Amino acid sequence: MSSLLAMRGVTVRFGGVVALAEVDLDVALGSITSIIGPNGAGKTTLLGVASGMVQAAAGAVSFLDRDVSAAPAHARGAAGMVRTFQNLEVFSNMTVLENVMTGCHRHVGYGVVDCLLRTGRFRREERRCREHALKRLDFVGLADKAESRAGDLPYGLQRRMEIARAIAADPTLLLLDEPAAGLNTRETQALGELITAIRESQGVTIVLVEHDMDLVMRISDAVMVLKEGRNLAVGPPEAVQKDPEVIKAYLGEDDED
Amino acid sequence: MAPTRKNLLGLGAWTLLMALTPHLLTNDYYVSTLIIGFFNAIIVVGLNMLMGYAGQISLGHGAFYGLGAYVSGILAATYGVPVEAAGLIAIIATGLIAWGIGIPTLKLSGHYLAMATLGFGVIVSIVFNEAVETTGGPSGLTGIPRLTLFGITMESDLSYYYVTGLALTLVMALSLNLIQSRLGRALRALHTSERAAEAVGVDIARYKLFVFVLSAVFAALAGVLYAHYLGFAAPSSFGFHFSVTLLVMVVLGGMASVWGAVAGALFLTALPEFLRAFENIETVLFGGILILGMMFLPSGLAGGTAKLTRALLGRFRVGARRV
Repeated sequence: MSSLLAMRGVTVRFGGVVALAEVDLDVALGSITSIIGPNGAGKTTLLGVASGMVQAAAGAVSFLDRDVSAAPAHARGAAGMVRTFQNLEVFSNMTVLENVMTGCHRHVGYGVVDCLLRTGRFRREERRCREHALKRLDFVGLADKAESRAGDLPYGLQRRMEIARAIAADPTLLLLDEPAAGLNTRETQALGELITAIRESQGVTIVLVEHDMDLVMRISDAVMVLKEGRNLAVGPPEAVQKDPEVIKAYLGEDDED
Repeated sequence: MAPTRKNLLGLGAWTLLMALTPHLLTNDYYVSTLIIGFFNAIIVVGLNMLMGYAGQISLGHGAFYGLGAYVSGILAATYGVPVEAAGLIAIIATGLIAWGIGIPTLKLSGHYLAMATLGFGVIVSIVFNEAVETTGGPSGLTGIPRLTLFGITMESDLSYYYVTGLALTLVMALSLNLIQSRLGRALRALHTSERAAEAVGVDIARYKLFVFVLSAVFAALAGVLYAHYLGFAAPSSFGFHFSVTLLVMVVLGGMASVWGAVAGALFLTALPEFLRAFENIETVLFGGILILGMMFLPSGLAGGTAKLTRALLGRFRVGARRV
């Protein structure tokens, strides 16, 4: 298998505005692939198309060598492509543990009848799901917050909890949409280590949309640059950093990094 | 305390209270009020899951209640179908109708379900009124036989009280089980963020449909029990007004709480009976109590009680520390 996620000729229009034009993306199995670009380049939109939450006007998405272009978002989630959100989408009315247990949704093996009647299978699976969620919480360093209300956590910890919820699904592919947004330097440092650890310990392939250049260049295997909805460059971080096109279009005139 | 153990304890206390209450009441009339309260509570527990957990509003649960009552009543009274079978058919038929309404509407986000069920309620009301040959029209369907279970007819109000109370307890237990599960988590999740729920693989349309059908089935069960208790069904009992009353019961009881649903339903069923003493200003008082409830108990009876308990426990602990 060459690439885990392959996007070909993806075009998205919002009204008359072309958000993405003929964009290609290949994500190699086991890699950390970052998507960068100036504001409005279409990075989050591309992630939306991959996860099935944004409708593409043209193009194809294949995941695990299957064409998923027509699959709804929940089906892609259930197939193992799980994403997080730029603006936190925390289930604020639930505890931290319940949030992460919701992440286990796709691999909890019991049906409606089991939960109506609390069968043995229900109890076994609930216990397994609970332990699994606790492990993931421990992994992101939130074990002591399991019983807190998710909405009461400080912002930085809510970000971590979202990641715990996503990896509780045991994804094959994890799409992270600006996970460092709103974090301070120290938190961003720790986030980089966490992302690397997710790849190392769980073999999860990661796509990272991020503004923080230090973070991207430090942990990525491949970087794809978008500009005004088009592919500008793609390659290993060192090469992309030196690409005159990229410097001109992005790094040179934008001091966001 | 683990949530499951808390539920078991709560259900045990509830069953005990429910079993003892009729023996503490001095007037048989109160027993029949409680039976009606139980019917309402069965509907409201289901509706509460739909509103409080899945975040969907139905303005047609009065109609599902009515369908349960009429289908079972007509089958038993007109066609002589045994009551158990008639009730079962009525419940399944109502569930299928709800499924038919839910499929197109719950795929859309927004309050399309409220509109669809509003329209559905009006249509059902018209059918109850106009199909005089089958339904008895505006004056109602009469001659519905009393409930019979396993050859025993529930003649006395007391026996009916226990059957209904048991049905309600069962509905509560099933609902509590459902909430503390993968399914319940999915419902609560999609209420806060549909996108995030989808991201971890929750098929939101399917879960909304499931809880909508389940709530309609509960309403139909209440309707069946109603018809074979009163022996009579009239369109006015199942109209838009009643659907709205059910919503008020949900909100006053407290969204997303099974216990709140039961409290809200019983409270609002009993309240008019108590207010009957104030003949002329009865409606004004009823409205006033609702307004006060909304002002001082924004999270309903359930939320208010929980807050009060916490406050009292807190004071008790502080007091104990001082000693």
